[in-house]
Amino acid sequence: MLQIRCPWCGPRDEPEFRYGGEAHLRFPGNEADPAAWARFLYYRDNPAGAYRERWVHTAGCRQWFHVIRDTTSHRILGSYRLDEPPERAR
Amino acid sequence: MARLRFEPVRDLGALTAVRPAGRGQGPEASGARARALGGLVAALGALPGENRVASVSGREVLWLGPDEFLIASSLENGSDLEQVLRATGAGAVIDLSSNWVGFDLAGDGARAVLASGCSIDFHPRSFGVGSIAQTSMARVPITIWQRSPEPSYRILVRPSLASYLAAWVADAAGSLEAGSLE
Ligand SMILES: [Zn+2]
Repeated sequence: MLQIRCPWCGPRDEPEFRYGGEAHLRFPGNEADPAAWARFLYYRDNPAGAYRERWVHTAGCRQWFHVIRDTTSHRILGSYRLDEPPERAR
Repeated sequence: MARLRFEPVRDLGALTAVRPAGRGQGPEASGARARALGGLVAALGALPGENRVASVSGREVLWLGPDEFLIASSLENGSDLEQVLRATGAGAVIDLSSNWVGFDLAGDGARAVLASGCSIDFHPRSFGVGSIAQTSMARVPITIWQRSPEPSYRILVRPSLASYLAAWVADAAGSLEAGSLE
């Protein structure tokens, strides 16, 4: 089981959270062409290694936040609040 | 040392949730948020910090997250408390008095019972009087805070899950007495 640090509540077990997919996706804007929308909606990175993703603490404070997880080991490298840059992850 | 006690709270009082206005970022949101929090402080006397409970004369203000508080009051009923909080213009206010069943867990072994069903650390170095957590116990969502150094904890649980949780705690306490939880 993963232990994830909620940036608000502290370390908690994985079943307290839900997964929200890749983080830092940019809304393409209402005027964007269909190709840009398709990229925004359906294309996701798939790195072997550090991956920045969104999680929500459903059993606790119900906040969304960011996690950096190593996809090859599932090791959690850090987490940070939505209004913080990835460099603030800890 | 005091024996382990686990009992339903007969008079839980009023429970009302507040989500202060001014969520999001930017100067407009932060101005609205400062006004909302100021109104709540004026009405309640204090607001808790993160993961804390503020107790002021018959009311406990529970931090549930960066944009949510739960106020537990023995001073008034739920609809009166709702009116008091609405009058501050603080944001979204809703009376949840019927949404929760309360239990008090106290005395020797209380921590061992919690540790057997709950993954967070209840050792005094990380969870003491005035600490609060929303978490899971025996797979049931709970809100728990410590009210005295004895230690004693108050646990809120959804009514439909209360009898399950009570049975689970009784079972865990039995195992504790038999020595298998040591
Ligand atoms: Zn949290």
